Amino acid sequence: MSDRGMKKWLPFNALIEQNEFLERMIYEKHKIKKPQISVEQASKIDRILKEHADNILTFRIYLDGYLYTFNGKIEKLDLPNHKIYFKDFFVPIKDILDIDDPEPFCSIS
Amino acid sequence: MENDVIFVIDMKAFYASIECVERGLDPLKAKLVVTDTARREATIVLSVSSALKAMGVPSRCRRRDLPKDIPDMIYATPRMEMYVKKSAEIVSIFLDYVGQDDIHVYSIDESFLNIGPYLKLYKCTPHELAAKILKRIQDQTGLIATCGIGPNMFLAKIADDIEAKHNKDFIAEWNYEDVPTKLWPIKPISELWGIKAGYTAKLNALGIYSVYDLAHFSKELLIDKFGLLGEELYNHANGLDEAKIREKYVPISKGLSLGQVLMRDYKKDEMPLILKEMTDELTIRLRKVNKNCNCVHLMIGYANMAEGGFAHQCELLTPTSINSELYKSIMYLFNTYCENKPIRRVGISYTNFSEKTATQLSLFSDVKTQEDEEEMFKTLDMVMTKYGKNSITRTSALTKSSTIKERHNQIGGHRK
Repeated sequence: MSDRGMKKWLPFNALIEQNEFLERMIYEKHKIKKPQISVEQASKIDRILKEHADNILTFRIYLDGYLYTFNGKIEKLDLPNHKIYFKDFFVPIKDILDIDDPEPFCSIS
Repeated sequence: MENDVIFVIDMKAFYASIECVERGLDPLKAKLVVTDTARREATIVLSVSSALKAMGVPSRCRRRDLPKDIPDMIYATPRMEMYVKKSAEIVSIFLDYVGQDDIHVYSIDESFLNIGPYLKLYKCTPHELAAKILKRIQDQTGLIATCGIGPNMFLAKIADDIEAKHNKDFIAEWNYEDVPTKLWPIKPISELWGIKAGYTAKLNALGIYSVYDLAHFSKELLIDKFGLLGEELYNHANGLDEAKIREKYVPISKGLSLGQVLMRDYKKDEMPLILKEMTDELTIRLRKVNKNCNCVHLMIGYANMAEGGFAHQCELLTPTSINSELYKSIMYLFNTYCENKPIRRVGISYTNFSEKTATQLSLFSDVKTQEDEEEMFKTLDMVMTKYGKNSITRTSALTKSSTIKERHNQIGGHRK
């Protein structure tokens, strides 16, 4: 290397706030629309919640523009309010996109 | 990569143009300056519109230096938050054309883009793409931008600085072939990016007065004189630059600092409050980067410039991120060194960071209180992040000499 490379183009960081706004803008920009789920998908979620609510399940959820996957055991199903409670947070049922089938081979019907 | 094509996109009179657009005025024709009229005459002029620049108003000056004989000059009060938001909006436009890796945000109104990898996708020349991006910026925000195009960051930047603003479409494209005809005639040598007054004198002493001289000087001698920078200067003068936008350079944070110029002269006994507020503010940032600090530094400038001031630092017994501990050290410095004179400038900084892993217990402090205090400050930080910095302050913020509320309404020391 015969010069300082990107080091010489280091921004003059007079405004710490600029980075905050850039990060927020990028976060907002990369948000996606909530994916639609099919009727089959919905009935699959329904069936797993009914049959396997005591197991540790893998959930795929949509939250604030982003998709997340996590494993968890359901603490409480709050059906009147359409919420599923886990140990220290809850997820609205409408935000669940998929639950991995704990017994995939049995599900072929 | 050989097929790099670099854009430098720079907003023309950024703050002033935004204020023009907000007032429904043409940013190229309106006579507008951005400066805080509530402050003293010596306050800085943040931005001068293009029309005023053309009339000879210096682009960087103080309010007292502005010409008084322009009757329809508009004084706009800075609105920093809006400017920073607009700046992010413009970067968001760039992101519609290139990926995040190929953008380097250089300042609030200037970014580098490597569009080389995208030319095939857009099926157009760099010049056409530049025109498209500039038009999009103008349509969406009403602001005028200039664009320098080059095979590397340096040539693009120089093309933008030297030529783009004079061209009709505000675009200048330079290639390696243009180096002898466009880069070498630049005079004086301090016009070149990266050469400041100090270097001008040193280069002049070697008999180098123009970019041409520099490009034809002995490379070995330059390296001998200036080290790595010598080679860089030589390369720049020949239109070469090895920097790659994708190789982002992230400096290791070595310290945090905070400074302010007080709005009036402060007496010595008013200062502890100011120092406490500044400690609080800087410590929030310290906890945000999740580090402990080992060394604090205090700078005081007296109102009478001739009397100077002082700058001293001291090591802490144990690394910490607790406000009261840091405040104690800063007050120690203040009480030891400060004379009884009116004060105008203050600066504090934290350096010598260490990770927040294990802590050495001290015989002189109580672990339980320290832990409680840290918990409390963490909670306060959370409240402030959620509800704004003025949502919770010390009661002392209501006193006359406090500056904290005022400062919370500022960005970069100017009005939000």
